[in-house]
Amino acid sequence: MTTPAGLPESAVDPRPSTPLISMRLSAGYRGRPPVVENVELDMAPGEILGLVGRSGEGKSTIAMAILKLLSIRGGKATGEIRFRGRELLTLSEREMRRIRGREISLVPQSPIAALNPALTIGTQFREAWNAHSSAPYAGFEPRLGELLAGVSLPSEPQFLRRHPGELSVGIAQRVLIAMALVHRPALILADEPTSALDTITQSEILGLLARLNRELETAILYISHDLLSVASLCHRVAILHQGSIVECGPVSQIFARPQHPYTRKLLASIPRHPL
Amino acid sequence: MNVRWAGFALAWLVVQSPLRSARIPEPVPGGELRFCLHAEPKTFNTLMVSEEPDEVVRFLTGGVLIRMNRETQALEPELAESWRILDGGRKIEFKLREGVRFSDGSALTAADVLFSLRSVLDPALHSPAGEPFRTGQGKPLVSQPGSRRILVSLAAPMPGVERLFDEVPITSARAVEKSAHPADMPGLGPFHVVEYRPGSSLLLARNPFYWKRDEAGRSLPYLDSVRLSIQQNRDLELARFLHGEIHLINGLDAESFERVAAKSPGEARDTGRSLESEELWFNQVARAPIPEYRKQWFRSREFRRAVAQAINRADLARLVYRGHAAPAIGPVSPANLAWFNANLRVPTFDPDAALARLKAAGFSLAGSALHDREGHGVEFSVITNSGNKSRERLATMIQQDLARIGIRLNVVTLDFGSLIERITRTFDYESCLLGMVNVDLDPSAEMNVWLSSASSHAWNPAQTSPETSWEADIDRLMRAQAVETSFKRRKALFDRVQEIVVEEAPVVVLVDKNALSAVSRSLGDVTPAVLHPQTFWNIDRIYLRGGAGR
Amino acid sequence: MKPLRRAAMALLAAIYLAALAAAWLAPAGYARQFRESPDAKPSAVFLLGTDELGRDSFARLLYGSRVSLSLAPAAAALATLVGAVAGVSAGYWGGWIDTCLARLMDLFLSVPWLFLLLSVRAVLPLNVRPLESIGITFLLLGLLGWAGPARVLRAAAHEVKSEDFMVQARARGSSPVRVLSLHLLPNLAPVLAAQFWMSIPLFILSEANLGFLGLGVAEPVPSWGNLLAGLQNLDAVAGCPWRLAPLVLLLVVMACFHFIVPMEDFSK
Repeated sequence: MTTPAGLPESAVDPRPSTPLISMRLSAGYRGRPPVVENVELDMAPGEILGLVGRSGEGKSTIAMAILKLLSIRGGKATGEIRFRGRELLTLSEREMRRIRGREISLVPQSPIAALNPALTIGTQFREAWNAHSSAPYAGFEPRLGELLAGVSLPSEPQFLRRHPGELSVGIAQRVLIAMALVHRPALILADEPTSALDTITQSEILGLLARLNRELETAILYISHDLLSVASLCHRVAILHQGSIVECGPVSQIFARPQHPYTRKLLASIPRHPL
Repeated sequence: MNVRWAGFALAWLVVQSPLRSARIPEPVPGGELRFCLHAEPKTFNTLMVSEEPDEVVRFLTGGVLIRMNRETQALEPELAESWRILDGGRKIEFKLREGVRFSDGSALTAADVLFSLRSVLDPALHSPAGEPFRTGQGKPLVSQPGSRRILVSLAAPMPGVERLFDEVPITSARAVEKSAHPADMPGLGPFHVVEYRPGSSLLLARNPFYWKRDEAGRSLPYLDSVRLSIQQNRDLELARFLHGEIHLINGLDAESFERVAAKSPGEARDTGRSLESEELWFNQVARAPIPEYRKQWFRSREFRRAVAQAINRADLARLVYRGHAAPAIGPVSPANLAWFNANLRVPTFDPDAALARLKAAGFSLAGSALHDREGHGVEFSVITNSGNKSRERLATMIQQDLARIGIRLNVVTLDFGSLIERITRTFDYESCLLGMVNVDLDPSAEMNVWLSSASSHAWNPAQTSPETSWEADIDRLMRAQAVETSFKRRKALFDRVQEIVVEEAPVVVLVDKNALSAVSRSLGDVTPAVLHPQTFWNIDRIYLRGGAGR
Repeated sequence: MKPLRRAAMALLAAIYLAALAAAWLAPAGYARQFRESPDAKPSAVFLLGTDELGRDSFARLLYGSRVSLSLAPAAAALATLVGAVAGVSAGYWGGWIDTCLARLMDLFLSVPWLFLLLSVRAVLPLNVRPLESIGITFLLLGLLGWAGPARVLRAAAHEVKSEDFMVQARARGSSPVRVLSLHLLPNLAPVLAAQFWMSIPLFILSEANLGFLGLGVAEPVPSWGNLLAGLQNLDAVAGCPWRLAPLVLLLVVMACFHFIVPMEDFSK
């Protein structure tokens, strides 16, 4: 990977090394034409990659394919997904389960719906912990406090006793981000994590993700249709159109010199940006 | 023509109405009688009738040589003016009545009678009416020794054979051909079919050529027409009666009877004991899949008699049938006037005597439970068909009666199919509670029940040789009465059969149900009998009071 | 809603207590036939009169309540449990498990019950004591009535399965057991409860029908089923309103159940 000249240091992948994840992926749903075809992507450790495209372009399909959960929605993925030296598509369900939430976490689009309405926040944290650790939950509790503080949530017991229905969308999304971080994964799949939020909360969450990336060096696949947020958060961006990556490169490059007509169209559809 | 005549008659009646009662003595001719058939007729071919609705139609539209008077149970000449038994019961000769005509006006000929009898008796035609003649001893022959004489020669003597001719239809080859179109079919009965609407109704009109006349010389029947509605639901039938839409109901149950009686007491008719009884019997089949010690009880005469003695039959009749039943005396109901053994008495209800009898037979009471000699608690099941409330109540009452002598009875109601399967094929039952109907009054008709080799020998059917001495006795008596020509001697033989059945109690006959019917008060000369067809056996003399139909 | 619910619970408890205290409240017993006073009107001796065999109708109602109020809920619980296992498995796992179980449900719902029950009756011994018959009836109703609840639960499980929080739980790496027990079942609880309560009156009535096949609660033990079956002849009831007591009690109890079960849970 070459670094285009004349771009600020910060906008470029800081550590080009062996990729954390690299894939060549086709995926679709039963009885319908494939949604994504031969999508090639790779991410370096600690990198934030923006995956941009309009709704229905298959962005979420890619996230679910990485977690091997497409079957829930009746989908199927083919190709290869290499993650830290393992081929995910050939892993058994049991092996895959050890990766989900421990090495790769998901931050969803609709935070309230992604929390079980029948359970308290605390119970759901406990579940996240127990999913991958046989160590007693009590041992995790001090860290949970830090974790919550890290996402600017109160850590007192009353908060943990609340039910999802009692939370605002922004708070719920912070809860889900904290939950995603319980086992310090190497990769977070953030599937439109801000689309359900108002603009102020949006920017808070974006700030949070950026900070986590900096402090914990967690790679983030940031899926969005919002180019402005991508520009402010990501190192690189990949443009998904009609099931294929039409353009991929450092943010500054894509924004400054879009090559593909679709990218240009996307860029034209947003207000002028500061870059 | 007919229509105009009817119109004229109507006008005449209206004009004359103030004087009518004075001028026209009852019975007044005319009017339409209505009642229900409980199923669709299967056939109008009188030779092939086997089911009740067909039989009703045949009774109303067909003719026979000899008719049994349902009230006196005596045989009366019908299309035969007279008959003689010849050759020690081997032959029967009929003298045909003169001037009998079919409903189309054609005359009844000796050839028609020959055709009818030969058809019924022909084994190849499988006429149900010919069934009792097929004794396996050879085919009866029918001949015509004189112009109006018909002779039936049997292969072996059949005492009481003349009664069977009540069921032998007299028809003609022409009529049988037309039986698919009942409205065109000529008949010899008081009525003939004029309209058949499948699934709905049958309209019968007066046969203008019917041969019978009343004492005043007027031609019978009095009624103009009979309308039969096809109605399977007995509750709806009852409702129609209560609304005055129909005039008659045969075979009411006690509850419906009470409803009619509550609404109009005069219309509910209880004719007393019928030929229908309710019975309890014990499984005595050797290969029955039930514990051996229980078979021992059921094969013990003392056990059976004790059970018979411990059941309060008067209570059964009073509570289950609201008094419209009577404690049974023996296997033959007193309603069978000729054959009932009048020396028998209603068995006494005496639980103490029953217990004493059981103790004498080796049973003992431990606490309130009866045990047999080997210490088995006396407990057994009774099966009966479900959906019959009366029978379920009988069983529940018997359960309490037997509990008093320490017997535990488990009541099991089964659907009819399963019940029949158990009592006739698998014999996987202990005791059974069912009803019995005597259709034919003659003991010879009951050979299939009493002979130990018979398939309907309820408690132990189809024995290769009688397993008990008393069954051997019954076999001998039944066979003897079947060939005995003297009524008196036959009666003595059959009386003894009845006594043995009461003494040995293989079946405990519980109650004789009363014959209950509903008869509209607008009908005259209805005298319900216990025999089929109960209310309208004298259909040719029934009339509507005041010619109400017009 | 709250006070109504409390009142319903109190009433139901009172009915249960009365049923349990039957021996004391109705010393005449359910089986004894007072043959000199059949079809009696209500009196100080027989509070609800007697039946056609002279048995104390009040005693029969109390003892019948005891049988039906324990038998029907027990059978409903069994049917709902079996139905839940089958329905949730089918709805959650899908695939061939679903295909097989769904076929089985269809089969059970379309099977000619008559013939199945007839063969059940054929293999059971005839000498079943009245009290044993209660147990058999409970098992039969419970084991044969599972398909209805199963079908509803299958659909519900299928729906809940694709909820976001279920996907999220799996994305978190939770084991199938946890996903089922922590997320699926608690969210199916209202459906389960609804199926359970709905089965109770159904089973109370089915019990009477079993009696026609030689199954069901046997004479002389009373049950609401066989008491209600006695009301089939409307004319027997006309002019004798006290004979409607079993029906009234059934309606009251069903109404109580209705108020006790939080209905807002059903609306989901």
